[in-house]
Amino acid sequence: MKRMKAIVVAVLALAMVAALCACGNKGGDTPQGSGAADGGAAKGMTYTLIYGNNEGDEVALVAQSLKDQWEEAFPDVTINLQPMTKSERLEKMQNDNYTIALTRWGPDYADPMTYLGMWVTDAPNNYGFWSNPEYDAIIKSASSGELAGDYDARWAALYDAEEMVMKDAVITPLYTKANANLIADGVQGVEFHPVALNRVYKRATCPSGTMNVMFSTNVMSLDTNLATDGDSFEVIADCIDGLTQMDAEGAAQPAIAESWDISDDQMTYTFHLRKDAVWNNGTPVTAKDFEFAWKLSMTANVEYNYMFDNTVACVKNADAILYEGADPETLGVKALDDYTLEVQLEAPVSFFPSLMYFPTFYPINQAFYEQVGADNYGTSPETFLSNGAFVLSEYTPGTASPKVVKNPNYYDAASVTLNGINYQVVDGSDNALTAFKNGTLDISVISGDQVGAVEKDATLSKNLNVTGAGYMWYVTFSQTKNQDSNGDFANTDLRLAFANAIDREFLVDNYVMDGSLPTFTCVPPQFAASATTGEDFSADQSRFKEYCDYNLESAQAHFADAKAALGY
Amino acid sequence: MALITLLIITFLLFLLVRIMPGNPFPAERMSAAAIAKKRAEMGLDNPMLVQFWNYIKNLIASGSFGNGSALYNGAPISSVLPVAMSNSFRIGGISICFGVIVGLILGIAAALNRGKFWDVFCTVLSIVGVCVPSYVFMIFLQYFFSYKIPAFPFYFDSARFLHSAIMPALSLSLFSMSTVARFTRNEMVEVMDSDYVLLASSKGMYGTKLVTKHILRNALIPIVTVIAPLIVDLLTGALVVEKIYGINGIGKLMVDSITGEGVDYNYVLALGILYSTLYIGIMLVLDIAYGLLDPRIRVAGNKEG
Repeated sequence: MKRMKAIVVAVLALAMVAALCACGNKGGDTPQGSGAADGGAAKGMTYTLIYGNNEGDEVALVAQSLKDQWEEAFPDVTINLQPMTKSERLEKMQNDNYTIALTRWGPDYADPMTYLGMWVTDAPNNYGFWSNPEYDAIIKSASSGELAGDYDARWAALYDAEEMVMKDAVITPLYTKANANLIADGVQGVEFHPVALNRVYKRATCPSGTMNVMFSTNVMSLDTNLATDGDSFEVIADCIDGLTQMDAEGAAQPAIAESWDISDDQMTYTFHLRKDAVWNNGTPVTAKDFEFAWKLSMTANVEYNYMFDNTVACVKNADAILYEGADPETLGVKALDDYTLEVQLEAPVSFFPSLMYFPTFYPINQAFYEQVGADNYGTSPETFLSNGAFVLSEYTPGTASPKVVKNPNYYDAASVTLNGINYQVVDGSDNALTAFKNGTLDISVISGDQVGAVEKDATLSKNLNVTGAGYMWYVTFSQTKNQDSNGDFANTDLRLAFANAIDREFLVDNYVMDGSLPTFTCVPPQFAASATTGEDFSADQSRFKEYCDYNLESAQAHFADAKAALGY
Repeated sequence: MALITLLIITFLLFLLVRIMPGNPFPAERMSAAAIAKKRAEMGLDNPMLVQFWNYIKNLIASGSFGNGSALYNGAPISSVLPVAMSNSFRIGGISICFGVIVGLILGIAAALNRGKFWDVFCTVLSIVGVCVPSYVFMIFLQYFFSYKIPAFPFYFDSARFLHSAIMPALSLSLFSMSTVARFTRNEMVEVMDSDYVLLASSKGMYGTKLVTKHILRNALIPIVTVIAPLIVDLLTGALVVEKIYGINGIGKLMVDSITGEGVDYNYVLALGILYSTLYIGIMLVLDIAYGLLDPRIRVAGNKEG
């Protein structure tokens, strides 16, 4: 009995010492607690930065670094950090109950408009509540007005619009995210894209025949109307072909549509469908499947049907149906016969064929959809139809990750070499790295702090492959006086001062570390190239550097102006 | 009583879930008007009491927890929950059986060998078991038995259920095993020192009969009290272990429904109700088990009745 007591006491004492050491270390590493000290700040220049604590390992570090950089540049300023879930962050931003937010946006389609559309007055993502009629006019004209018809003039006007955003520091860009992938030996031909479909496997090969791929979250939906996340789009695109498909460079290539004619005014597209495409229940894929799917998406209150409206695809009457309650039957899409689909537009859309590989525009077989019911469509292999390279073999929402197997009836089955793909949801990148080494995963994504170790590892470094993830992290400021903000950021000089005080290279090199690109334009690079010159819209990162480059002199000058104007 | 408790819990959960920060309908691309329309479709703009009444009515009339809002894009909860429950319950069941049986054996061995090697061994083991969180043990197992020696799958695979359930069940059982062992030992030591055991042994009773009939039976009452909440904890999923090992159980579902793209009210509620029902149910069973184990409680109950 006594001996036991002695042991217990010894173990407890050991545990206490260990705990104390741990606390001591922690205190030593981070001398300044978030929002603890006042730092003798002048009255009132205390702002709160909100960020997500479930949006990636590096986000908290980036937020801490922003706080440090701003407080160092401006001794009068105190930044409080406030971590929260992504959902809460978005709720605060949508309700305008924040001051500064660290947020991100990924491109939906390969045109700068997917970013520039965000800062139009009253747009859902205009979290700064900024408004500039001149800007609105350019964006409107470029998406569905006069500029839409003149490719080069539109492209030039988009730069003008971008400059307005940058000049006013409506947002300040930080970095364009990259994915550090590990790809197993012998796996080839997986196409990585920063936009629309992140990974395409149609032309991939894998020594074992079946590829094991990591997902970081469960697949949310395989209903093309309801899906909203990249992982879901990826599985949908494994199984369903649209009118066009993405090639390795991201350009639109014929898929279900063999060819298409464009009218002289560029406002009528006639797609000629191939006759050998079938759904996996044996029914042929017809133009009616497209007409049905598109009209269906008009009737449902779903997130992605905005892609039909006049800011993106400009399908005729989409605006009237979605926002003014017109009859969905009036949508400008019509199956002329089983294999001819005519689409009418409100304005010329130069990137229209490349929109057609986005899952929102995929076909749905009406008879099948009505047979299984809207609630159940896409929730299991039995309630999902495939016309693409793979067929769904296993999936239950929330409980069984998708598995797909090769579709023998695919019209292009001869060129598909993979036997199937198993998706594995993995929590935490440490775990993913071990699973990759173990051979459980053929493709996995690792975090920035693992990249250094992997690069040093002689065997693993060969497997490392950095690809653009497309989305851009940026900082947005609420320009209104609200529950959280005293309205100081309505002052353009203050925003510019904050933009100029961020060292983006330092941020990326020390905290993100996965090959992400420091970004100085509000449309990030890598995803939108000009159709005439082939040049990336944002290849020239120095274009707006004067507004957001790391320049403490300019930051101090703007800050002094702001302080005077705000009366501090 | 149990039903009223459940109703009160449901109401409190309902209120708390709606007060909780986070958006039940995350949609970055939708206009404010479209989001408002969606909230109206989901009945979120009704007064709280009306919402609660509708929820209860729906729950009782059709036994349905409704559809999700943020998670799995509105798939009916009834199609997701049973699979998650079956995963969690089966693994939890294995680990509880293993934990209780091994724990009892260890505890008895320790008590009968008081002060000797087995006693010290069991004590150290149970301290380690209580202190080391199950997920640490899980990572340890995963590292050694599926990475270093690939004997078990690295992630949970429902097609090979038993094979892949062994590691998580083992790591989950560690805590219950240690708790049970510790309590069994202490209770048995206490009972063994009591006068009636002394009397029984002085009357010539010894060995297995003394241990099972007089010592263990009396020691079991406090042990059962400890085991009951452990069972609920294990059945409802050890969320960290489920996340690490990729088990789509209810613990993982709970985490996803709160920290996913949005806060899914209906999932959080359904899981909360499930958890409470289990807890209340187990406590009810526990009360009945007391009577069976302890003649004093049985006699007192009969007198009152």
